[in-house]
Amino acid sequence: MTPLLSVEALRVDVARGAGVRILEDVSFSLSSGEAVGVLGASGSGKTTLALAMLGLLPPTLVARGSVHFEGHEVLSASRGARRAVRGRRCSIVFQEPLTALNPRMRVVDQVAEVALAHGERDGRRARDAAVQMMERVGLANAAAQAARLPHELSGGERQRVLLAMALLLEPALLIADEPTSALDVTVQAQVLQVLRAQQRERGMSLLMVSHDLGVLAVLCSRVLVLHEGRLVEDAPTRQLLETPAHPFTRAIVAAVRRMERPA
Amino acid sequence: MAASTWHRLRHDGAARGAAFVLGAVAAAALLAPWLSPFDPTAQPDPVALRLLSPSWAHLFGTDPFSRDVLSRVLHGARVSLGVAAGAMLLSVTLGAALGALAAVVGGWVDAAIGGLVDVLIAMPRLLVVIALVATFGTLSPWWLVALIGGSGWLTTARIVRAEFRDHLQREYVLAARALGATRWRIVWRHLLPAVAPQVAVAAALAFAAVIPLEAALSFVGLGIQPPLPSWGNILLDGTDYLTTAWWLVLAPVAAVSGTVGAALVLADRLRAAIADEEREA
Repeated sequence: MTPLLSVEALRVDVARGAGVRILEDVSFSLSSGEAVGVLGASGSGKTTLALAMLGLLPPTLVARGSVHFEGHEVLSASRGARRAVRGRRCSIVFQEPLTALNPRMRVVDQVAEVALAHGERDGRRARDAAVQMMERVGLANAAAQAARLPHELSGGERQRVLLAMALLLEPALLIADEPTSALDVTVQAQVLQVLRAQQRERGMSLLMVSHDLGVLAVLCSRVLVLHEGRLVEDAPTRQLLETPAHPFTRAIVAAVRRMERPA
Repeated sequence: MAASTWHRLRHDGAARGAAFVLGAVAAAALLAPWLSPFDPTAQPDPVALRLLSPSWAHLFGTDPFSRDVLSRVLHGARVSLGVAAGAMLLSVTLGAALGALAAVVGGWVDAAIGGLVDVLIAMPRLLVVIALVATFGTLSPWWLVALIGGSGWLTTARIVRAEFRDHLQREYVLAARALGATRWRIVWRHLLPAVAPQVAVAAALAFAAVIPLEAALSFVGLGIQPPLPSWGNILLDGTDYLTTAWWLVLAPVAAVSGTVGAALVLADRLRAAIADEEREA
């Protein structure tokens, strides 16, 4: 079976910074319905990897290699072709829900905007669908909250709005870039719950990027470890926790263990 | 709940007063044919009825040709406000479009528009317009709109370009792109609404600048040609008699300064509302 997403020998360099490499020879694949985590410290290239999957790297970065999604090459695709995929077949949730939302637009309009950007003409129908999706991702009192501006919602509520935007058109792949690290622990658990439910119910694939092994272990059956721009480990979550191969992974697993069992 | 810029403005006493003044002037212009006690161009008796001082029959007196000054100022408002509003719309639209184009497309387009702005901003506007009028002869009000509007878009373009570049860097724009919005969709749905208050300030300032510009052109005889009344040429008719019939300039001066003052107050209050909102957000 051909994988949903396959990345081969992906390299990302700073366009004019001679020799500054952000990602070095990254290869992995992800099949339909699978949830894969990408673990890495800050600066390891996690977010760059997430943006490269969508063909959204800033012009200051140059990508080489191949990113294959649903049978199409992303890196060499035309601007229009890449745009048509984003939000419809492959979506992303960003880390900081406050800055990822337009501060002056009602949240329902921001969610509906995704449908409108992909050819929906009927504004009312788009907004109805938006409210429904906000309910499905667990935004309490969605019909009333819909008319609010982002700053009138709590962090957890805002993150659900971002989730509703990303999931509105039922994409085959959701990329989540630290979707819970700006939230407190109880809200974090709720958001992870929503992600798991969406992934299981609809057979959606999930590529979750985080520095938090605990968060990844909840959702992902497999974890890739990114260290200084290189993929140093690719293993089933259980195996990674029990017998980590790379020194960096061993250090992280040991740190998590220490926190779990305080001396 | 924090109020939007527009909401704040609606609850600002000074802004409401200024809007009322502008509304009243606009209404006076629209209703001039019904409000005016006399025909603005009729010269009933250039000997007996010339230079009458204010009275109940002629609230602002009569001019050297025996025409009723009030009627002329009311009709002049149509021309002066019409030219100002037209020129403002043209300059703001042009400025927003070129500023947006420069920010979104970037590269040589940005450089070309930036260069054009730098060259034009160095030219004194009144002198340029006077030179053009002198070259092409007297102008119809439409040409005046085109000339004044076509030379007034620079500030708006600069503001819109700077604001757009700021917003284009923000994460919500990246997020919108990441979910499939095209560049122009982002411009239309996110960026233009975001800069609308600043553009409105620029528009109010442009309006405040155009009223005296049209008046100045007509005052030196290059703008609106008599007998069609405009605030500028009514003022021109009155200046020869400043020492003997000072009331001739009263109405046009009050009209120009009241309108400009109201537009400036509105611009100022709008700017304050924007600042308040940004402080709270």
